[in-house]
Amino acid sequence: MAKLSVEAQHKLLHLKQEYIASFPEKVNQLQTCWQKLESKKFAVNEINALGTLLHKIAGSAGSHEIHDIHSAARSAEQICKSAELMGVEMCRFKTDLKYSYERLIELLQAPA
Amino acid sequence: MSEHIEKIAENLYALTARKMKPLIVAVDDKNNFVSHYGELSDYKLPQFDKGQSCVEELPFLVGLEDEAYVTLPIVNFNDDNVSSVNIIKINSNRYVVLLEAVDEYQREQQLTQSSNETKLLYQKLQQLTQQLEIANQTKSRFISGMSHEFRTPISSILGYSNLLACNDSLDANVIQHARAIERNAQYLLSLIDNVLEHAQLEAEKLIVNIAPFLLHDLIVNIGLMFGSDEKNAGLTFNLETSESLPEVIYSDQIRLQQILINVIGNAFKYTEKGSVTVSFDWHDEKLVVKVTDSGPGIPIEHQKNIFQAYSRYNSGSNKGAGLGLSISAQLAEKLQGKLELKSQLGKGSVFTLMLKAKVGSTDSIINEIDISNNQAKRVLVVEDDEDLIELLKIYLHEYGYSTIFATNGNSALQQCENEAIDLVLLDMQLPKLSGIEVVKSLRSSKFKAPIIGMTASSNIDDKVKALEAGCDEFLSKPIQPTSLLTAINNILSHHG
Repeated sequence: MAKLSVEAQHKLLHLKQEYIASFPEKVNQLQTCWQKLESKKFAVNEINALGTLLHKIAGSAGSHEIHDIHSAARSAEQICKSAELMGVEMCRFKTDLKYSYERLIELLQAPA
Repeated sequence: MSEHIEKIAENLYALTARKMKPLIVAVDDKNNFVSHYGELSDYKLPQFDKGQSCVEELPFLVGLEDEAYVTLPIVNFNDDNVSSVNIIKINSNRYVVLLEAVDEYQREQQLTQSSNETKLLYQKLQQLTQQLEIANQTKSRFISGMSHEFRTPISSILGYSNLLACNDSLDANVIQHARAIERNAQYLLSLIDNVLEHAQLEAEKLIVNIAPFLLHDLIVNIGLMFGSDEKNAGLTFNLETSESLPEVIYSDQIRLQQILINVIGNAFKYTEKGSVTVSFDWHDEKLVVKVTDSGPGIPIEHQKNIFQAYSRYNSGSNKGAGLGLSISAQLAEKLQGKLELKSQLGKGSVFTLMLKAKVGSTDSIINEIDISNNQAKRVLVVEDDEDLIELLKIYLHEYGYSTIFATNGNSALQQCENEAIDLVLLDMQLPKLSGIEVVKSLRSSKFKAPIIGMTASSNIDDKVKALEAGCDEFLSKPIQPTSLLTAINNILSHHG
């Protein structure tokens, strides 16, 4: 049902390659966000900003069917959301988010 | 004239057999006694002398309108006489006809009392109904709110446990424990989803989406889901299909699958050995799916409540909240069908789902997503993620739609005001002006074109909110090209 034409498939492949090529930029964005987060001692606004970035990465990776990055970004996003919900002072929050964040960075930096 | 009166009095005596103690008193134009017929003592009246004033004993005579006929249904006079009074004026005389009305009076008193009591009861009932309605709304809000609040931390637990379970550097035991946490969190999440779904059904907020689909796809999905020997712990799973099954039917594939997963899942849950058989058949324009298990069976006394919410046979088994079958039965009704049970203790159970469905053809699916006329249609995509914008552009152009884009809510509102747009594809999680706010603003400005909301949220509540705000459909991210095309086509075909 509704199969894509060869031309569209090529376009999608090209787009996916471009998307993968943008990973270093995404790593930079994530690292900038993370540094701000650490410098502001995990303030709510910075957590929201990181959550928004993670949400975008999860969504776009999912749409390109890059499942490991999609689920790693989604897990980290959920930690940000739960921090918003329950307060950032949750004792394990920083460790958990750091672990999750580093796992995502690792996947984004892995060779395609 | 007095002869006539005597005749009337005689008739009254005959008619009432004296039970109503008829008495006629004739008075002149100054209310002075002229004559009487009947027993004055019945009404504790004295023997009047001719010309004597009757006003003291018959006080209702004072101030009467000068009319030929006056009726006073119940009058209490002269030391608690209760009487019905009719006054007939002939020439200058008045003839006062008294009929005892103690029974009527008592009946009226009782009626008044009953009426007052009924009024009080009605007021109390109204108060109770209002309180119940408020309580029910509070309950629904509480359930919905709590379910929502629970979902986020549980999603977080799922995320963590998944990360742990995928971490190869950890000890095998730790990974096993993480898997157990993940499994239980998943179970908890499904319970919460059930509670939320039940609340939606109760509030009649659940929406079904009828569209043509391949029955084969559904049956294959069920086979893949329950056919694994590893999962079935020694139980045999049989999948039977009749040759009379149509290729394509119109129903809600997702909801139908949900019902079957619930019923088949239950069969596996409660059957320790033997088999679970699912058969698909077609009778009298109905899809008939039977789920037969060789489990312990359900006692007759529990069968009548089996589809009630929170009803759970074998409550000690701790196998759910007792909502699965209730939700399934309600969903079946929503799909113009019903779910039935036949069971015998010790001999297993048969759940039969019967759904009335229109037959389609593979052509109907293709027609549903006929893209030949799409070029004339203009889609506004409102999305802030550049990666997704590019992806959606490829999909939509491939399906023949022309596109324009907005990366925030305010720009979307402007474009909707200034451009001719056939459909809006709207990300619900936009920065600043949220998707919900954009939809509300568009609908309040009488924007008529259909709007499809898109979000990564799996929360049913978010879907309901979007639809209530004015979205026509809702798509979950990641966006799949087929679901995108089907949704757009379905909606545009309904909007002409």
